[in-house]
Amino acid sequence: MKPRGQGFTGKSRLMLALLAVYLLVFFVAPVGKMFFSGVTNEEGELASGALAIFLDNPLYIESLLNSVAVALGASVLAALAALPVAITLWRFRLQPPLIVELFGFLPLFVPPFMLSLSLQSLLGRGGALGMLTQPFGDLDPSLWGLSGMMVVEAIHYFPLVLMTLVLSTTAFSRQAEEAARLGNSWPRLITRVFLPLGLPGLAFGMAITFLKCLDDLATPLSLGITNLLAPQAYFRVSTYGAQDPLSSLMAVAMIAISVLVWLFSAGFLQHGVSHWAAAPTGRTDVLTGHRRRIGMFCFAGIAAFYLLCYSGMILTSAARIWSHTLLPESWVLSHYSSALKNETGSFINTLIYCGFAAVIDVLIGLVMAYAIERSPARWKKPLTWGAASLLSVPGVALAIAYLQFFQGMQLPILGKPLDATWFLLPMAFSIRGLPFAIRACSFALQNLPASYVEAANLSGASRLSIVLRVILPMMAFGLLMAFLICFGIAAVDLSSAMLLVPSETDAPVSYSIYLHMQTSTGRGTGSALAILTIGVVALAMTALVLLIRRNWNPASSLRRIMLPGNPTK
Amino acid sequence: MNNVRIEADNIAFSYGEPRVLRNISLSIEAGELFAVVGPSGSGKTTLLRVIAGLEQPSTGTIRINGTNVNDIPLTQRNIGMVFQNFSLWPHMTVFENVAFGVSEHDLHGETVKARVDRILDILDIDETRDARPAHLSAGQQQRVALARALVTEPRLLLLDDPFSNLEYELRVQMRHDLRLLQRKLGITTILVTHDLEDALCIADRLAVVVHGTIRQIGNPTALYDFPNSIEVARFVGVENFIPGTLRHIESQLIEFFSPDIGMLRWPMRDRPPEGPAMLSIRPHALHICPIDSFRDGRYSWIEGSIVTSEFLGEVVRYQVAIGNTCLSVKQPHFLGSAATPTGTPVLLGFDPSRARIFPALQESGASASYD
Repeated sequence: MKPRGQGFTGKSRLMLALLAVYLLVFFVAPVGKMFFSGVTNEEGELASGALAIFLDNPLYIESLLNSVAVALGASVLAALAALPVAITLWRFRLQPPLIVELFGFLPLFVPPFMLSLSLQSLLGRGGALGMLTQPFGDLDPSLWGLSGMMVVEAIHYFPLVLMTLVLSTTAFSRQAEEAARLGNSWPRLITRVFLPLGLPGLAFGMAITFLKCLDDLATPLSLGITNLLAPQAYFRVSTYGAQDPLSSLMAVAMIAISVLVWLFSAGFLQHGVSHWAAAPTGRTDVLTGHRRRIGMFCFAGIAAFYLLCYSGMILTSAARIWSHTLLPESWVLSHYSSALKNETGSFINTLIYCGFAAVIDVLIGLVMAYAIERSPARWKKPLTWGAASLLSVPGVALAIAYLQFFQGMQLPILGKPLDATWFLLPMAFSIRGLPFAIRACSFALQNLPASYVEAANLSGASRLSIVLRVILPMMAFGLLMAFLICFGIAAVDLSSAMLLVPSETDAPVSYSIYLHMQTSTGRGTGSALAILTIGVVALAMTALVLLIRRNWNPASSLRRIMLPGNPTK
Repeated sequence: MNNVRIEADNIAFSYGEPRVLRNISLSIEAGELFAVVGPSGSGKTTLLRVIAGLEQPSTGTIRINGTNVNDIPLTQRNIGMVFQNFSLWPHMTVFENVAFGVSEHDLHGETVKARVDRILDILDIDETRDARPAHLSAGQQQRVALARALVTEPRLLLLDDPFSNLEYELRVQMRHDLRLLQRKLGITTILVTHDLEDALCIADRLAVVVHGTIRQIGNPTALYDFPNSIEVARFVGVENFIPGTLRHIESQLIEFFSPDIGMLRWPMRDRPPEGPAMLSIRPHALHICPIDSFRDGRYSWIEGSIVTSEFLGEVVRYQVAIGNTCLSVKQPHFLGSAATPTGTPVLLGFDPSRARIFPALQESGASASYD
């Protein structure tokens, strides 16, 4: 029998029309206009002027190549680091606990420039480890140029690559062990089973790393690197204004590269998504003996490494004076009190922007998930992958597109120029969070099979009662997940924020941290603010773990949402 | 007895092409337990959903006690339904699940509680009232779903394959309990099931639906003994179909010839058309005798040899080769007796009155059988 109730009613069509308007106004039209302004002249005719300037300027060509090289290098480095760890976990059937699985996705919720600044504090000439390692050479990543950035990004995205790799292989680790006992050698199992199974996960993790690195604006600036596409586009817009065709061309180039990478990885992803759904939650297999010790060693080792990496920031946040000593000379909590006292505004800004963006994402995601669910079978796959491909839109490119498209437009009622308000920021955030929102909302919809609502209808209950007592409670978990994920993704989207924030007083927390860290006197407060932010994210993650465990359908919810193409059923 | 009579008149339904239901007409008497059976994908659940009002028919009308209910909203039809997966709301306790419908009916809190308590008591699940569905067994979940459907005192009870999620023993118990409850309440009930045994056990009448049309309606024994088409015969468990040619010999004597089994003759009151035909006979209507046995004149006899045997406990199932055809035969198992060895030549005997003859080229929808 066919799925129930295919087709759309009048109200559904209205919702779809609103969805189309949203996508048209906040995605298709701005990006389309930017594309045309990059390839046309002032009269609107096709012209290669901007392209010629771009090709003639060695700096821009170098920036293009550097961007690709850094993004590729970071993703390859992260993959090389993740592969042996993932093979060890697979070899010893070490399934990460839910909390570790969740923290594997932490790189998506913490901006990488924090790691960069922490490593600079730690490994810089005046830093704790920097002093010790000085005789062997400078380890400060800001002195290594592009290689430094590659390493920072690779360290930042390593947990994500590891987790996607683990999730795509863990379902078959038991069978592999049994096959090994029956006489198959481990090298053969790794090459013939682990690698083919892990390829989709690896492709996804590497693709995300690549796309995020390409789009990263704050990390290169924090390292003093400017010969990349994102910083160059940012400088062009800052110097020549939003209508600069060269910045459009750079943004278009970033989108083109991102789309190509996404398409390339999607080819691998499509063949292995079912393994993610099959992967156990990691709580079924109790670790004992040497497996337990190896597991503890692996997870504790990774945790200790990250604690060490972030210790620069932790120490800076509590140091009054710290220069050329192993540890700070004196300790204070004033940075925290200062952060809490003076940065209340940026916290409130974050709540407003990210909350607004997350609410839009949940609403739009719900409509899109519903539309995908109801669409004919032949449309389901292209729509699902089409929605996931929004991941490939760089924040810098979207922000430039917004500045161009909305420049000169007046905000109704207030009568202010649209680009002089914070309104565009949450809209850009919402487009960036949409792929995850759709996945989470699909998950929420699938928690509510049609027969549950039909049973309520047949009981004679009113619509309001059915919505309040059946639909919302059953979808609440998925919708909450959608909100939290979109909120988190918006909170770290510094690339869009740096271009779209109209003034420093309107800055969200991530931008405030960046601004503080750019001044020598603000590093303590910036670090305290960063630690507080990471603490909030960690708390939210832990709350999410508790929520998943309490949920009546605990099956690997997060991975089903975070990994594209993976059936949410 | 609730005196609710259901009529469906020329119901058709489609999600596009092809049509899921075609020209369905049936009449269900008040207090009757009517079963709709058919293979997977035949449209039986869709028929139930159309009657419930969950789907609108493309054409045709549904009448309850003579009133056309096509345009009556779902919430006002007062129909109780038990879904295949039970669809119990996981965030509510058993009490809350059952009380959901009645609490909407402007009833006093005490009245709601009394009604829910009564139905929980009738269904013997009052001890689970504070439990969540996830903590109940499949049988308990089914009772809760039934309680939720019955607590609003519906005019009509619809059951969508309610036994499919239950293990065999529980299934037998539940259908027995359901039958008793249905008789006690006298509520008109429609049961949809893919399992013939469920329907034969408890239904007053049943309809066989194949490819979206009703092929036969009748009481369980009539439908089982006298299927009117090859499709219905297959669905009610006839496994042996022998192609051949039918000829009239005398006014009430027919001759069936098949290259595999040779010539068979027996008297038949109804005169089936001459020409290509299909002889069907159930596995348990055939019995195996040694090849040199006395051939009782009341039976028709065919020679064959044992190909395989499967011991199934109560019976032994044999595959017996008759020319190029293989017939399935079920013989009762007797204490200590061994199965007839493979390759043994045997005689298969059957009472001609238990054989059915269908036109060989019978198309879907055509229905005629002869005995």
